[in-house]
Amino acid sequence: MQQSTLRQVLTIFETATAPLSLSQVARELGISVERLESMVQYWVRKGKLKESVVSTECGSCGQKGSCAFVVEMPHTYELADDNLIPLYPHGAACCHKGGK
Amino acid sequence: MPITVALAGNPNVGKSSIFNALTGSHQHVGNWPGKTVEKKEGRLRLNDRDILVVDLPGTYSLTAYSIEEIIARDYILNEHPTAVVAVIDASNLERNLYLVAQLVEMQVPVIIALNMVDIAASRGLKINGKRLSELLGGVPVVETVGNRSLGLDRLKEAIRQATDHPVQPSLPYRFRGVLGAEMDALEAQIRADKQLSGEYRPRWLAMKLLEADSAVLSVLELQGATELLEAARRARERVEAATGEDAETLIADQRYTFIGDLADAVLARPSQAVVTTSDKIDRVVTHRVWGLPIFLLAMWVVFQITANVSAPLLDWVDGFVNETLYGWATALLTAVGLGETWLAALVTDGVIVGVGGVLVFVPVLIFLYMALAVLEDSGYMARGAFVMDRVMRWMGLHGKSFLPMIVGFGCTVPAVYATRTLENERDRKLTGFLATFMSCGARLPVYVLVGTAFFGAASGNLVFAMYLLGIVVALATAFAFKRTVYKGKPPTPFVMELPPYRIPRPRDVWRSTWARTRSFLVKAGTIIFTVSVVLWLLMAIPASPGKGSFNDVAPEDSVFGLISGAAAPVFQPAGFGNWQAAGSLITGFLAKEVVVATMNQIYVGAEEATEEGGEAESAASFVDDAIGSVVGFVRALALTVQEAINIVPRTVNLIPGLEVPEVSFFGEAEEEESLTALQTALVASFNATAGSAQAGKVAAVAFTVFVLLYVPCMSATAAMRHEFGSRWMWAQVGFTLSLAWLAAVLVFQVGRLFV
Repeated sequence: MQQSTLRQVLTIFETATAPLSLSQVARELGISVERLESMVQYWVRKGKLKESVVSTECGSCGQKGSCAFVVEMPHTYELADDNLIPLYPHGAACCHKGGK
Repeated sequence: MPITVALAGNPNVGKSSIFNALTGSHQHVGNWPGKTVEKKEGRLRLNDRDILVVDLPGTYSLTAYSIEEIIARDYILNEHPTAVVAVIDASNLERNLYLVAQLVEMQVPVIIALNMVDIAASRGLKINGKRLSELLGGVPVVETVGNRSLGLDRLKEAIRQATDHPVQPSLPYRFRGVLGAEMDALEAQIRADKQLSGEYRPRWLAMKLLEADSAVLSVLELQGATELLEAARRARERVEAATGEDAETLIADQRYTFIGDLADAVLARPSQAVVTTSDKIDRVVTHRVWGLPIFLLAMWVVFQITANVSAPLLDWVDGFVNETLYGWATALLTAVGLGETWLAALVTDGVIVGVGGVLVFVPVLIFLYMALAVLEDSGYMARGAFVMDRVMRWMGLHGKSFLPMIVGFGCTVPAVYATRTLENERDRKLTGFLATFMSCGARLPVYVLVGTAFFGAASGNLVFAMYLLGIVVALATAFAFKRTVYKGKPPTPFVMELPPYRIPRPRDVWRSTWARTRSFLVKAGTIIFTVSVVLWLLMAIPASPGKGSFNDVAPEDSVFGLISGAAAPVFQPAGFGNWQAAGSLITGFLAKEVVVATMNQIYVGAEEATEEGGEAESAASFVDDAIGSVVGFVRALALTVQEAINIVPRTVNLIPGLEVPEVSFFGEAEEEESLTALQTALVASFNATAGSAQAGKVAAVAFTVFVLLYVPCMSATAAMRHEFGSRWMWAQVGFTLSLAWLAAVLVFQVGRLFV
């Protein structure tokens, strides 16, 4: 059965051993980065993919949140953790702004 | 019923500009009922009619996955706006069309504001608005530039027409195969239900039922539409059984197919890439030949700024901490009766000298982080990685490896974790290994201290040389590993997205600078503080009973002196075989900043402890000190500006034959640089150990080479173990110690042949 392009996007991330950048995947699928970006957002919304964040707390300093030194890494995506569930799965209202 | 127009669109497409341009000052800002999401409404006066304009939250889609999406969708479904203006970014058409497709599926009257057409044009993109309108079933399309209020009259006219004669767009595409059949069946069932078909567009509801939209299912369940829900569940199962894919993904995929076809039909991309200003700059700075020298020159300028521009402020902070603050603390402790106690010694010679000795270098780090932030924010740092990619591949490394290495210039720990972006485990391990050779911010105080003590105004060159040496050693190690232990396939080129150049934004530069400086300060307040206290204790305890008593012992006779003295002979071939240098390197294993703290405690702490003797300061001297500090600070600021200006002539003077004079605010006599107490003691100690002043300089360079190459710190070692296992960690510790020792010995033994 031929996979849909959308499913192929997810499959590439499922078989990857490291986070992938959009340009890498776009080249593999032969589609534009803009088109891919939109498709990746679909899987991000569904909780299947997540933007890869390198070392949020490295332990070498007391800083909370993202590491002050990690600024040059390109945006990459990877499979979301198994226990990650989509935000607002039942359409429930949330009191926090911008929960993407 | 009032005429209402809703503005919908992705985030950052200029929706607010359009909203402001349409409504002017007639705005009301509040919250969506029961939500903390901002709701903006405004009045548009059009042909003597008041139109309520509602700015919906920015969303990429109208599913039920975020609060913004739910608000936008519920508003359109429940409030029935007369028309919806979909503001889309013309320079990113495909991504924006997903939302448009969903609006059209809802069959509400839609107007497309094709915004930011100027940016699209600058990238050579041409969008056929007329064709777009046709393919979307007659949806009006208006080109706008919201932030310059261009195209607004045409948009207002489109709004007038849409509100006078609202037209529901027909769905411009059909779903194929079993999905289409099931959708048709569900749509027919909904149409047969008068209540449901009165509340919802049947086609849209059928689509949502197949998508298993959680919000819609919940509402229908409350309404008791169990028969329809059951039919939808069976339809979803049949679709999945027939296609092997869930209906929601199939619907989204067919939507994307439609959007792709639509974009191909209306969007003309430049057949030959448009040459932007960024491209023109890149032709020079990423040039095959000139790229690397330009990158090195940029880094040289960064370290000139770091070492020379910060020098006046460094001197001022040094004077303030080691003299003024030390004096005040001594006076205060004496005033409260603790003058000559061990507690006073701990506070002054332990904490102030130890932690303060490191804080002295905060101006240096601020300037380094600021210079790096400017390079990053301007887009140049990504070019540096691009230029280095060629070198990296030549050495057998994946170009991606340079990214963790760049992170390593800030801190080794995140650099080790950043190797996770590499796909191959061998590359990950090797890159993590190499990242430890990158000069992290913590090593910088050591370079600056040694550089200014031994080389004065040329200290920037030593700092630059150390950073460069770190890269060279990393590349040479990679070269050796890839041809022996890690022999394998040649690495693939790294596809890198180069951001366009831009003028660095002061706010972003400051934010990045402060975040990094703050992390250094936090470290100073925790690790360095603790180490300083422990070190003071070790220096206060005599190694044997006959050598003195607690807090009354010569440093070399203390426990710390004994341990350091035992390690000192190892460094004799490298020219710095004294217990002070050995001791600093031992504590430097905990964190590199501690090397300077230790030196300050050994050289300055001990000296001041014998000199001060707990002399109390008078109120008059306190005021004098305070005034002197303020005056000194103003003078340091002026000298900093002078040094910043002088970067230009110093860079130009690198060209042979050119000699541009430097600026001098206070005259040359006034600018005579004097060494601090620590620097003076350091120079004397190294000269004595190495045998002469010239040999002392070589030994100092060997010392900085050792600091550069040996184990970065305890945290980085723990990160290596966490990521790559204990064996790899111990291999790294052994290798870096051996390499650092060999390199330091080589530098000293070869260097002294030339002095």
